[in-house]
Amino acid sequence: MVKLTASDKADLVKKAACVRKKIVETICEGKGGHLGGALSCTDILVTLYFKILRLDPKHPQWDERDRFVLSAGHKCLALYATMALRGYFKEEELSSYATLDSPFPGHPDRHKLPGIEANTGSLGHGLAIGGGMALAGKMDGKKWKVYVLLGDGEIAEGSVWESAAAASHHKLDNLVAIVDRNKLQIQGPTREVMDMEPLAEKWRVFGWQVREIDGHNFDEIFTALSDIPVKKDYPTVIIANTIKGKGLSFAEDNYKFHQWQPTPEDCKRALAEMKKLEGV
Amino acid sequence: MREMIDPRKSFADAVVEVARGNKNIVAISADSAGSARLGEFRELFPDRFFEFGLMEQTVIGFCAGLALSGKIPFFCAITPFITMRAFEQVRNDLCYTFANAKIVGRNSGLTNAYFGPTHHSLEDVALMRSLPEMVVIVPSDPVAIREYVKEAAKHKGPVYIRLGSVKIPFLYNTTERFEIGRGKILRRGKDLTIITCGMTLWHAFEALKMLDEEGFLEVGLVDMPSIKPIDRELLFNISKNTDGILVVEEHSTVGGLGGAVSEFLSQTNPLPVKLLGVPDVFASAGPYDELMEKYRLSPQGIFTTVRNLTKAIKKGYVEDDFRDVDF
Repeated sequence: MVKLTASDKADLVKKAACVRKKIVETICEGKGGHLGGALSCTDILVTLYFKILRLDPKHPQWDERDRFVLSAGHKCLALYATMALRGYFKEEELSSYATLDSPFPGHPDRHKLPGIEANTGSLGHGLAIGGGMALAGKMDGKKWKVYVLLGDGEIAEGSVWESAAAASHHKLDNLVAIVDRNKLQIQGPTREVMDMEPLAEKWRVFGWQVREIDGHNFDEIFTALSDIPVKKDYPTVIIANTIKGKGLSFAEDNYKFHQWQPTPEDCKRALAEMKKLEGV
Repeated sequence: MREMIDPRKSFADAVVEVARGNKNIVAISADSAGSARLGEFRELFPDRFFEFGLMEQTVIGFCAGLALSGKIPFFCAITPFITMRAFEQVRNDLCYTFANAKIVGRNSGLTNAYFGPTHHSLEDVALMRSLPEMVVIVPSDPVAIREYVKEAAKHKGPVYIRLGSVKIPFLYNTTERFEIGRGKILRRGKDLTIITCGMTLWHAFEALKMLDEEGFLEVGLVDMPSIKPIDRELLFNISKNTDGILVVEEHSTVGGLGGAVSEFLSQTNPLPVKLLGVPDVFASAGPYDELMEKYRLSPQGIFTTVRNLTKAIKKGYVEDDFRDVDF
């Protein structure tokens, strides 16, 4: 089992705090945005971009790169902030978020921001797109892998399960789905809105290798993603149990912060918390 | 007796031909390999053929992923399922992404005849041509199908090709060449010009023979297989030299070739334009020839419409001759 070193872990903790701070700052610049899901998947994205993905921020189209598809495109602030920290672009550029023709719209656009692999936003699309990439990689005997992050509200979309069946049928063991299971969606608890339990069992019967982890535990995230494929010829899903709004006390586990239009007072409080978090 | 060819066979042969010269071309089936005549492709290139069963929307996503990784997928399935069920995936995953993927609708229009409206496709051209980046092609004969498959393979971006399933004759010499964005003036006519695409080109040719015999000699004919981008230069040229236009298509009169022609001419050189297609109804189920007859898309139907329209234009107005017809 591959393990994270203590110093690497400490570094990831710091980086995740920076990303969370950037997410909150960007939203607080007056435009609003999808806060809860961005904060719940931050630790996963930071681990991916700093420890797992083979990439070159200076050459985003490098042919041998691993591919990351943010199927839950509304969580893009976490992706933008992580990519900024990883060196794809300067952090201050993110201040154009949501302005006219910005490279950083409310859902990612690969034409505008090098390093974005797919134009997502409508839920239930990313796993098929990632599946197609994985199929192409297999055809060419490539070593790169494809990682697709899904929301747990998103997986009510039937296309997710069609894609799951197809990936397993075509033996795409270079494909990894990560479910950001924060258990909340816009309307409330996912189990009340549309119960998709038992989730692990569902993926298993669709022919996937299933791992369930704490999506805020860097050791678990790193280890779960380090030895893909888990089993030859089988795609892997990581069900990452997370907390929506993680890191911002008043937003944690509260579905009302799925999309956030903060008041100046909210921002003052949130930014103070983020500053404290960064000092960890 | 002229040779009749299954358009799906023409398509499948053409895909094999382009695949021989380009290893990135892959063929995708949604439980369609036999019906799409892709058996030979599968035998020749087993590593480049993928079966996905009945999940058209997801196959479009896979096509996008393949295209974003350098492959050129040709995905053929029954038209309403590939264009309508999968519409949002076509919009976002192919068009918005500028994915170099080709989708081919088979058994289009009314060719699924007695299967009824669930299997008819009379809205697909309207839907596909509403999408930015999409190229929409409705070829009329086996030569055009072959050439447009080659053009689609060369074009970088999403392409929709619409095929029927009823056997069609050769209308063009096998050396004829076709381009995306170019139509063909097959005959010029001062009184009226028929603009058509797909299956109805053949019927229009037959109608012209009947019109000639009746003395309607000033009727022109244009084949417009490239509906998007449409041949604006040709349309403008024709509009300057004819008194009226009849668009004939095996599609709804809402938003198809008729829509494309009307949108352009109404903003450049307005002249009487009549649309002959299936009116805004779910079509009947029944034998193909009888359906084409019912909706006036047979040679006889086109002949009658042209004769009446030519007379009406000469009188100075275009009568809405559908208003009393109960479909």
